[in-house]
Amino acid sequence: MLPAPQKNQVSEFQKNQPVMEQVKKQNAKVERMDPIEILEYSADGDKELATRTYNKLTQLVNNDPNFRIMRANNSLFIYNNLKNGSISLALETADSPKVFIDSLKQFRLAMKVAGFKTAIFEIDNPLIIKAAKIAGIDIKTQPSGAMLDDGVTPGLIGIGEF
Amino acid sequence: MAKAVKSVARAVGGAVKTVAKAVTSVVQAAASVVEKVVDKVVEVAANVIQNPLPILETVALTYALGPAGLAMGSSIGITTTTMAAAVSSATVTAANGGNVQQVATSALATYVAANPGLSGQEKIVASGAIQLASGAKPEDVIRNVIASTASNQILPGTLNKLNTAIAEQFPNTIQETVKSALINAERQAVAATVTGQDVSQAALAGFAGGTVSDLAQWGASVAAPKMEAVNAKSIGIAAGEYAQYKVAGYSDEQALNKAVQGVFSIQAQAAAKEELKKQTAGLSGEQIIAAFPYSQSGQATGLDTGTKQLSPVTVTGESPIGGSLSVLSTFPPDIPGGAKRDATSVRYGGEPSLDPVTVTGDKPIGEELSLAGTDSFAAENIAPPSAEEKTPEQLRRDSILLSLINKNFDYGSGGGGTKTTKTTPTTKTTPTTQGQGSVGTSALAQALRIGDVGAPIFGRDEEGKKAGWNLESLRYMGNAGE
Repeated sequence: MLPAPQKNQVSEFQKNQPVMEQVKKQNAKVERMDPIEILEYSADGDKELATRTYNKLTQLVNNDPNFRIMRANNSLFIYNNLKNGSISLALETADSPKVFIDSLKQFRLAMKVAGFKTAIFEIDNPLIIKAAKIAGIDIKTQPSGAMLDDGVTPGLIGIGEF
Repeated sequence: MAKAVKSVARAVGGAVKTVAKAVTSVVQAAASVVEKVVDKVVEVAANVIQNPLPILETVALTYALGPAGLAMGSSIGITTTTMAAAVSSATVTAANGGNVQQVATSALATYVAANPGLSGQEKIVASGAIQLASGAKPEDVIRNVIASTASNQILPGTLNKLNTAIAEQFPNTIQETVKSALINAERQAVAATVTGQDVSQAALAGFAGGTVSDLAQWGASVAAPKMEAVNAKSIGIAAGEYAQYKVAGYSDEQALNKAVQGVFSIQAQAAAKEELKKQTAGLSGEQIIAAFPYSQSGQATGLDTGTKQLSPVTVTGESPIGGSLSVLSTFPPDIPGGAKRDATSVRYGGEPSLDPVTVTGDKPIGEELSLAGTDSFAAENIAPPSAEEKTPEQLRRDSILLSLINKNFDYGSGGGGTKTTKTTPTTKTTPTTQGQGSVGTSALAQALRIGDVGAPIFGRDEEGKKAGWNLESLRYMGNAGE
């Protein structure tokens, strides 16, 4: 005789709750953060570091016409105009993965409109290549000659084409 | 002659009322238009200025993508295609090295250019908004707006009447002199409006500064044969002029020269000067006037106006702000030569031809916006005769005006030429390569390598700390396909 069916203690819905929450969170409208909040997030909550970065960036943007910051969603694209259609680029982001791709797309289009052709940046996480590809930025890589923080992985330089 | 004087007086009276009304309505209109335009246009710009870390929004550049781009733009206040075009153009400028503070002004300038339907009034106010965005004080901006708008009000018919009156009133040789003097007066008056000074006094000072010597010379050339003799009457007249120049702040020698030039022929001037010195030794300007009855008679300099006063005159010319301006005034007894000094009205008038800001160039990639405008409010157009002929007050006004020009009118060049705004960085970061393709130049590294030398570019590398790069995002993306 088969045992009487027992009521499942944990429903499928409950099982999936964390996933659902994750999905809900990702689908939620992006809250616009202040630049300093983005920097703080990007600095793992280090307010002091974020503030110092913020101040320094302010000084540079105001004093160096080649130094600019472009924002898309909650990502800050910090670039230096190399004057030949190229920029050297750095990034601070507080975006969720989905939004981050959108930010990259927006940045690519903005750079195109502004007349830039390529961006040169140091790759400290190879996943950026994949993200950039999804956003429509083709990236070519070449070794930088340096090692990443782990001391084992060789550093890469990425050249992205808008 | 009397007929001319009457017609001029009538015209002036009409103009005074018209302009008085106009100014009142202008102030009200200006206030509302300022609110409207500034609210719409400066909103985004002001954010840029107020934000200590100027950041360019990608959406400001991507409006060109159409409705989708525009929809994105609404999140930062870009709500119309025109606005989007303005902001985009400005942002392109900034993205390529334009002064970030100028994003605001560029946006406004583009806005004006992109809106052919704007009325003259709105253009003026947009121009004011540009000044505001450039950091001018609101009260100064309002004064400019009022002065500009007033110049847009006077009716062309009034000008025609007054011009006819001038033609009847003065012989050909003097018309241009009077006109140019009044242009000078008008400029002083505009300066006064802008700087909050008394307009009629400024106009008078400008008129006197620009006219006296010319009128005196003209008078001498016409009337010299009649007044060559160094007699009591002519000395009295010269003494009157001498006193006026002294009161106006001229040195003794300058005042003497001016006085005798207007009354005596060249041959008689030296003798007249000696005589004048003798008779006026130790007397102040007021005492001289009291001591010489002819000095107040208005007979000097050969200006036989019959009524012993300059009739109201008007002059048209290039407006410092864009349209043609006119100055209406009566100048009865204390201008040397007997004209009175009770100028009561200074008016700006002209055809509504204001177009203070236009933008040339369509997509200034790699270079800054090139702005063209009619800015005859330039130094060379304002400077009256020469430094030595200027009173201290004139010099003071000139310097105020020049400083205003430098601050507020640098988007155009004199005579409607084109001027490319050039950014001059106060400090320059010298890029040093950290190996080809390094993320940052020294500027970037400097910005991000905060703290100890060798600190990581993003975040900190302390144990347990994540890098500034949002690794979760990237890991998520990497795992997504697995």
